[in-house]
Amino acid sequence: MSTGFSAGPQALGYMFQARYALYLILTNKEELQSAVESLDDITFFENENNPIELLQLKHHTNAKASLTDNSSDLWKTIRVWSTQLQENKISLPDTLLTLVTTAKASANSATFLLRPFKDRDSKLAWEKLLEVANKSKNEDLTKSFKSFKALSTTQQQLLIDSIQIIDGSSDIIDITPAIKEKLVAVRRKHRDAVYERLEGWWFAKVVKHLRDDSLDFISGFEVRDKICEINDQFKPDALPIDFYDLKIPEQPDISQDNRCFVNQLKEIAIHNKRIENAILDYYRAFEQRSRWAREELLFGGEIEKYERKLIDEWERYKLALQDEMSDGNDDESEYQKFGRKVFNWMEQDANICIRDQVTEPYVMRGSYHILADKLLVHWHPKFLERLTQLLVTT
Amino acid sequence: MQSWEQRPFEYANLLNPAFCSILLRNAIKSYHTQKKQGMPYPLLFLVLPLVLHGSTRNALPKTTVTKLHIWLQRQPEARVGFGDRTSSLVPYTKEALAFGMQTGIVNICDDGNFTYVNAKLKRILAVSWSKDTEPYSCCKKAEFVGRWLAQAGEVSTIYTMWGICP
Amino acid sequence: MQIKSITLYNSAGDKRTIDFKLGQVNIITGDSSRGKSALLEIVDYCLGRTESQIPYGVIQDKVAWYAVLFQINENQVFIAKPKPLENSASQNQVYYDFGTNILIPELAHLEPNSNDDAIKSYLSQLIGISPNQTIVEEGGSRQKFETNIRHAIYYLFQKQSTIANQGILFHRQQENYIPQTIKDTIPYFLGAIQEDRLKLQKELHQARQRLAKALSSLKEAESITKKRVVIGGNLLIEAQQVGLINSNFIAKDASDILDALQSTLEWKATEVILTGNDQFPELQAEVEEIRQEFKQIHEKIIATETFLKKETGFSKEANQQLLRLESIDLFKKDNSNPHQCPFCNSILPESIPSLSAMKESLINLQNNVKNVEVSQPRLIEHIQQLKEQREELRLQIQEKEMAINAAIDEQEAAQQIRDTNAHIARIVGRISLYIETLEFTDENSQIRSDIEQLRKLIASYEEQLDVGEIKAILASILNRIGQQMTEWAKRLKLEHSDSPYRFDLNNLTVIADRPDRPIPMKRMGGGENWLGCHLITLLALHKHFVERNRPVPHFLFLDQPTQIYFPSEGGYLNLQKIPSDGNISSSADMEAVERMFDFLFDVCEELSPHFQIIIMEHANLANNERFQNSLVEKPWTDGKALIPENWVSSQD
Repeated sequence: MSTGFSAGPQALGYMFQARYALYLILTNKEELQSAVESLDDITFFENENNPIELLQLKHHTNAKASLTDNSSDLWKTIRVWSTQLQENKISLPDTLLTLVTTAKASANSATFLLRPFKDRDSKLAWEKLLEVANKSKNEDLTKSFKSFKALSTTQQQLLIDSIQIIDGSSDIIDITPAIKEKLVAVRRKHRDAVYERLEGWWFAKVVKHLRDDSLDFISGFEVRDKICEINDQFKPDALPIDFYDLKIPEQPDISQDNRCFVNQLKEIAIHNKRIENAILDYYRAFEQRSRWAREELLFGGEIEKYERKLIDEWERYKLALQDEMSDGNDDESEYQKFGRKVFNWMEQDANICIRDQVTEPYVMRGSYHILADKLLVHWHPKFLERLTQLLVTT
Repeated sequence: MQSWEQRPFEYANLLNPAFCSILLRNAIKSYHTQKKQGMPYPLLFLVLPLVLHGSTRNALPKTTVTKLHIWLQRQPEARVGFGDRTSSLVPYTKEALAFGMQTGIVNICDDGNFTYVNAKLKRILAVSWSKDTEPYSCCKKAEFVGRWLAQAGEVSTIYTMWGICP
Repeated sequence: MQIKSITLYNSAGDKRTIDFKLGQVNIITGDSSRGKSALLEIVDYCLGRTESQIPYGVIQDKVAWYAVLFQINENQVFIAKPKPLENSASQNQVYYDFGTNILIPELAHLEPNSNDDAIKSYLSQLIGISPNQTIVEEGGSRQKFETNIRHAIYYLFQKQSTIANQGILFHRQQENYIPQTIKDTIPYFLGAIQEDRLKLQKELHQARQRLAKALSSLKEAESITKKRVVIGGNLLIEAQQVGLINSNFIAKDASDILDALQSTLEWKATEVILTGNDQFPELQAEVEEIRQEFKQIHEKIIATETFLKKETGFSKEANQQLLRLESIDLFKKDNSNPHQCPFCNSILPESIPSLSAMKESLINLQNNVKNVEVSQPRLIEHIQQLKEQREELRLQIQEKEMAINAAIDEQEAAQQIRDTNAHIARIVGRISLYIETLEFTDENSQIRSDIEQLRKLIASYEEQLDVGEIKAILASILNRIGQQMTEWAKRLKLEHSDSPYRFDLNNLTVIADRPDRPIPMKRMGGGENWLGCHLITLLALHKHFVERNRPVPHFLFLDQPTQIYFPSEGGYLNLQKIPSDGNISSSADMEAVERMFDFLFDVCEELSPHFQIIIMEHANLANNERFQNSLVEKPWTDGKALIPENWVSSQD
């Protein structure tokens, strides 16, 4: 917990519940939709009218809390579900009713018998619970007992048979690694970062959902899409800034920039942010190389050899790529894809240093843009052709 | 030398033959004024590395009272890398000389030494080289180097002072 | 280093050159006052001595420049100095030239291109003196200094007044401070000091500094470890005060403390029921959302500012290039035939760039820069906007945080109940943090082994640099030189030649170790013995220099060594006609003179071609074939002298 103040147990409970919900959504099938009625009450629907699982979440800061047969957690939950059964909102036994709690079920209690293990005995549990409902003097729970007893015996047995109790469930901290493990599509080194962004989004969403008393469902698809979206930001050819949502005009105004190397990049339709970075590399390499030559007179013949080598390596890669790509189909998007591949190779794989001790990557990248500016290399395979046509027509 | 269009941009622009030939002409002119004879071909190759290398240019003495040999004994670090710089600038010096002859600002005498031709260039006011610009100080230092080399002794001795071969 | 030739110039540009043979004995004989003795001073002057000792009179009047051509292995150095200006005895301007085969230049060429100081260090490097420093014993107050070629001249010259002097052995030994200088520098010349001693001293100094640093970081590390135990003890006391640990528990050592603290981590707080509605998660999420936005805008600002900075750097450099390209505006006409070679009119394989091609580059670059400079004001404005937005968000965050604080205040009552728990929890938290950061490994072991290694290194340097070591080497070298002197003393039949002779470095004299007592040079009888001591000492030193390849010029000037064999100084100086053999006082003396010359010839041959002896002499041994073969020029009698006759008669 990295909040600046200590959250009360209540807040911890909320956090746990929101996180647990996220965990369950990621565990369940994608097509299921969930509704978060209140934080301790999550429903999964196959479609709008078919809830297939109802969840009640109970969180306790006290690790030694135990779940007895007359605990209010249990009975409040039973009341909710009994009511829903009465109102035909759920059809048993098609719906799974789950109570998740951090408390431990006491041995030989009904709750103990309802855990999803081989010593589960729902009949015995029903007997025990009925006994509590009949004998307990706990006034707080009167309503709960009433609504349970209002069901027919068959309904009671059916209800208890559909309940599974998951006790001693992972604590607030422990659930996080479990969620991270679910992020299978994400590279291990990015998992923490992706999880953090996901959680931020999820908390904001849950809070909004509750505040607006929203009747919208949250689908597993939506959550997984979000994960993909966040994950995309960590792919090397994407930009890790989510400022699309911010209505800020792109700067600098690249559309006005008609320098040759910039046009080459526009031609292969890469994102503006990458073009900005390319311009930065161009500036830095231009400045650095010019300064070397002006003050140190360094790299006299080396820079010529270096430029030749850059052109050679680029040529070699381009030819190899041409052999792989299907040819003969005159498709602009194929061309752009080809150009982007060459450009990606330059930005991410090529590592050609002018001298062993000069390893700053911008020297090479910027030098490529300098060559692109002189038309000695190109990305888009038809760039030179089109340019000459353009010059002929003007 | 690659053609003008094929050259790396910084070498094309910073060591363009027009600029280099002006520096050589300045050195030749002040050499001639000092010694009343043309400047020997081998000495021309020392002008650009002395004038264009930033830290060497800044370390040059203010007046020719400090002789080259004395200066070198005091500043042995000036010799570090000088040979490499000189040999990498040879093609630029040759090109600038050819350019200077083609445009008629320098000339070769019968004894093989180089001399300058008067009134072939416009006044320096034609360009925006104010006193605090680099090209201006390069021009001034080139004049200085011409005078300096004129008082430094035999060509072969000057070369051995630097520890390089003609 | 030997002497190839000596050249004098008069103001009219005439030259007078005396050539010497390398690796042999060279003899100049002639009458007195012919300038023979001046030769020695001329060489000294050209070796970088600023005060000229060249005698006044005809020489100083007629000569404008003095020059010496030195041979150093296969190279030659020509050194010329103008005579001192009027009213001054010194001159430090030098013209020098370096090559493998130097022709003596004309007077017009002699324009100073160096000075004494530069020449001194230059010649020192050329003969192979490496960077060094004299040794001063512990507690000595003398300055350390660097041995250079000027400190070798004591072994190169024996003036007429020195060569048979009973009180001094070396050139200039009678002057102030010189004896100490000789004693300070001779260990280097003899080779008693390692060539890389200076480097070793620097390395020793560095190692000592490193050791001091390592020691202080060890001390620091140890105090941190000690502090840790103290902190642990304090935590234990706190835990006992709140009842986490039995108050009777007494820790015996650090690991006891650790075990006790470890046990407190099991502690769990009892549950507290909270009332009221906690708005915290909602507010927290909102703040989080605004923070995200804030961070994004902040990142944008950083990115845009970086962009602006790089852009400025780029346009600065590009403008420097533009300035140089502007050179083309200074030309009045274009190079019309850029592909034609101006030297030979052939067609060039790659044509010289034309002004118009450069013009094009200039325009391209200008456009590129323009592109950048247009966008800059917009960028600056944009950054301004972003900063305003950031400020707005900052305010929002502050408001939200105030709301959160209010929510927390509501919980204050409940907080009271939890305080005890919180207090204990805090202690437990601190304990767990303490235990986490505790290192069980001895992280000082690395530093300790570094220190051990440094100490060994320093000891080995100190051993190598031990002055005692140098003294021992020096003693053994002097011993071997003494043996050589003893052998040669026998050969020259010196007075005490049945006893060992040795060079006494402390008193700069020669001692003969008689069985009853040591006899110093000034106690020996007669000029013949004094001369003998000088010759055997200097030649034994030079033999050592040559054989050990030490950086000392390998030549020796002897000025009139036979003077002592003549009955009177007058008789010697009035020698007029050759042959002078008859003037020697007795046949016994004649034998001694022959013996001395034979000795000089033999030593020079033994060391050939690495040693050169130059002798100025009144006497001319007409019957001695080796003597006659060694004459450099015809004897300087009648009109012949150092200064040609026609120079003297010409009027300046």
